[in-house]
Amino acid sequence: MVSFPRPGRPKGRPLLAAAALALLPALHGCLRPDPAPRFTPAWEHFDPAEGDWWKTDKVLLVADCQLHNLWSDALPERNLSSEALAATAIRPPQLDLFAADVLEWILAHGSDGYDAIIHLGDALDLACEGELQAFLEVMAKAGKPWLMAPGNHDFFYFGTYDPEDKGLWQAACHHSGSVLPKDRFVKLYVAALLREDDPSLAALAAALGVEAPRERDLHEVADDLPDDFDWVRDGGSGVLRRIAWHLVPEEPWRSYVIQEADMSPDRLDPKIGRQFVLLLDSCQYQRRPGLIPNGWQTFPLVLNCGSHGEMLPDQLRKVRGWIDEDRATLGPVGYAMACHHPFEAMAPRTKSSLGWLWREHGLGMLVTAHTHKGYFAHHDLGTENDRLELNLGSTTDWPMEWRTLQGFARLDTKQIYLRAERHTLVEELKQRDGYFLEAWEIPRDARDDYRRYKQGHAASGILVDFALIHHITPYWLPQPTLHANAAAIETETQVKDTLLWTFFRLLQLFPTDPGDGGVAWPDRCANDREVIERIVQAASDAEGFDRKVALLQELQRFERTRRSKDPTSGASTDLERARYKLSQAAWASRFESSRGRRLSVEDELIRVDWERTVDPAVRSGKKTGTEEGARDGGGR
Amino acid sequence: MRRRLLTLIPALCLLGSCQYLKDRSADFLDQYRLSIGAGSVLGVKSKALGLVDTGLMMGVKPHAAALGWRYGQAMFFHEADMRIDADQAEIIKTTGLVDMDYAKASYWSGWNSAAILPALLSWVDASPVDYAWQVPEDGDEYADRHWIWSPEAMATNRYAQVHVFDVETQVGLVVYLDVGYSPGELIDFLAGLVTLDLAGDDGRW
Repeated sequence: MVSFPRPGRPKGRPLLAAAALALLPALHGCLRPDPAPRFTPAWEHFDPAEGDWWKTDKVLLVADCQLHNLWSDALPERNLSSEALAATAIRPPQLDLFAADVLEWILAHGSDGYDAIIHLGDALDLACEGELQAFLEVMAKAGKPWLMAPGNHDFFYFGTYDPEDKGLWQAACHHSGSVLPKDRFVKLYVAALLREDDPSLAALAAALGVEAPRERDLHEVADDLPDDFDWVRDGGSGVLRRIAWHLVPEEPWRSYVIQEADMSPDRLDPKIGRQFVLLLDSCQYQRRPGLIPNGWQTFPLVLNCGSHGEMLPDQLRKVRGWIDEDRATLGPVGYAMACHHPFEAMAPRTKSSLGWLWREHGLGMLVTAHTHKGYFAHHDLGTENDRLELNLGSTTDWPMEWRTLQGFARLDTKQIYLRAERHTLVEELKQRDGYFLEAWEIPRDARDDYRRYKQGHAASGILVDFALIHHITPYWLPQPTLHANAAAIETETQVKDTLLWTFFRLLQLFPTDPGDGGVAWPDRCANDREVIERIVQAASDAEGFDRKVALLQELQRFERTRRSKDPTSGASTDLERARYKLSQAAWASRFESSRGRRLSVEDELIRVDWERTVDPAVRSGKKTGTEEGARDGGGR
Repeated sequence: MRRRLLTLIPALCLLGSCQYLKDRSADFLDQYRLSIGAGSVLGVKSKALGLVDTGLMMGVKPHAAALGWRYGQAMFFHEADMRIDADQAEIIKTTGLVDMDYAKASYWSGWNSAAILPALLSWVDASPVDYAWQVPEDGDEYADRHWIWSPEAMATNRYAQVHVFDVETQVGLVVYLDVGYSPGELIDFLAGLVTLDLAGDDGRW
């Protein structure tokens, strides 16, 4: 017998249908389309040599070199508790020692060819004249015109604040000239610009009435500069089109320096116009910057320069005036902006006004630094078009990066590209021979181990002192000065010892050429053996902090003037020594960033410790690898 | 009964679209404030309905060292959150200004105290958020600071309007406990059921 299903209304189906229908709007609510940014990654083939591409000058971007005064006294900020909160409170000594070598290498080899350098600030670390001198020496070797948007570490103590009592700052700058308040920094910076070989900077020198700036002492030129100046290039060419500064010696944090860099190509297109980069000063503060807010202080509150950037109305008005004037006199002009602090770190009214300027004047990309990490950020300023920020990492701290930036456009096909090539030191050096030799890497627990300074004691008590002095003590009372405690002194002593042992290793690996007559030997030394004896003696002297520093200064001069050669072959080892220094800086930077010898995502080749991996019996030769394999089942 | 269900369910489902449910959940949770944390805090203070603001509390409270919920903002020892609430002793004595968002340089939550008596004369930064030109014609200082009771500022700050009646208590000695309730957010939640967004905060999630 065959049975058929009975026809009829299936139960529950309308309910299901209604629920399904109701889900549609629910799904609609959940499925929101991604925003369509104006700037997107371009993976297609792009060769500006193919086709009629118009292009800007190519700029090398570097930032946050943090050249550190190696001879500083022990400072309360440099202790292991601060280091736990902010890893860059103390860097591995090799990184501080060779950071200038890294910058020098980047400027010389960092790109196949570029037209100018823009430094995005924090060239210095503690804001000392000696640090600035070291920085300017490196920049002078680049042989390219360069400009700088200053950063908080260039003229504030530890990059954070401007203390009324300069005692600690002077201790930080011990053996490295005087402290560098902002007004002084700006004058020295401008004086250094005048020494560059660039027609626009020569025109600036003429406008300032400075004759033969390269033949005069930098400080002397700086002393003659005015506190207020506003200049625009009248025709001609060169990297600088405008510069203005306003200095307030009694309140240096209110000072500013801004510049307009000319990145226009030789071949101008009337529809595209000239291309300028506005170098702004995000370290201009309304009130004296402070480390932390004082608990008894009402408004106005102070800002910590490490946390926030600010630009005051006089600077922003000047920039706006420049843009209006440029466009009135030159027609279409394209702008990028550059400053040290990222957009998100700007104080609210600065951020608001800068955002307005960015949006309403149709300015292009904003290039920033300060984070030491590097990223791209899309900003929504209330229009359909997003705004792009390129944040640049540090040349010293990991990932030790720099970029070149160049714009391309084609009117016939309506295409625009920005090429922001990213380079990192390790990737660049790995493509070359002679770097990162395995024997060069400092063994763990060696006397010059990159992180040996971490073996001291924590200084948590000092953090409480910071809170007491900066936060709890009412601001109207005299502020006591905090000095380094025993733990901080112990840590700084360890840093100096590591530096001594680093020089020791340099001498062992790369002996001095005894035939070189131009060597500045340390006192009481005439050969490497005697230098090594002095190093051992100083490093073993537990109480001799000042003697260690004195010898380190002599060793630095010695290292800069000596030539090295292989005693067996007689061949020069100067090149290998330079490679060794860069390798040390890279290893130290990596160890600092990863808090030890840990792998990170960019690593591809992994060294495995034989001693800690292979069976001791196999290692000693009592058992062969074949026997081991056979016992485990063979053939695996 | 079945017919009623058949008509009611689609209506409920329509109302219960994903975004609607998210907004109502968010509005419901926006009423509450409960957090614990560590900081350099010392004191006790309370405020209620914009009328009473008493006690003495001073210190800084890093968001990175806090756990809890503050009117829609979750806190979970988030290391990357650099904001710090600052209670300024002198202000507390005179005005009761609380929770200045120091590290963001945004004195946003200072508006919480917008209903205190004008005679107490405290003031906060206007914290613009809409990318407007805030630069005065002359001088090198921003001149747009407002007294916190400024009617013009109050009129444009929806958050301050909603939170003007908050009831809060904080007690702390290195470790602090912070509890609060916002009747304004309750009204926003109830209005939200019929899709009115008084606080202007729908669509956050």
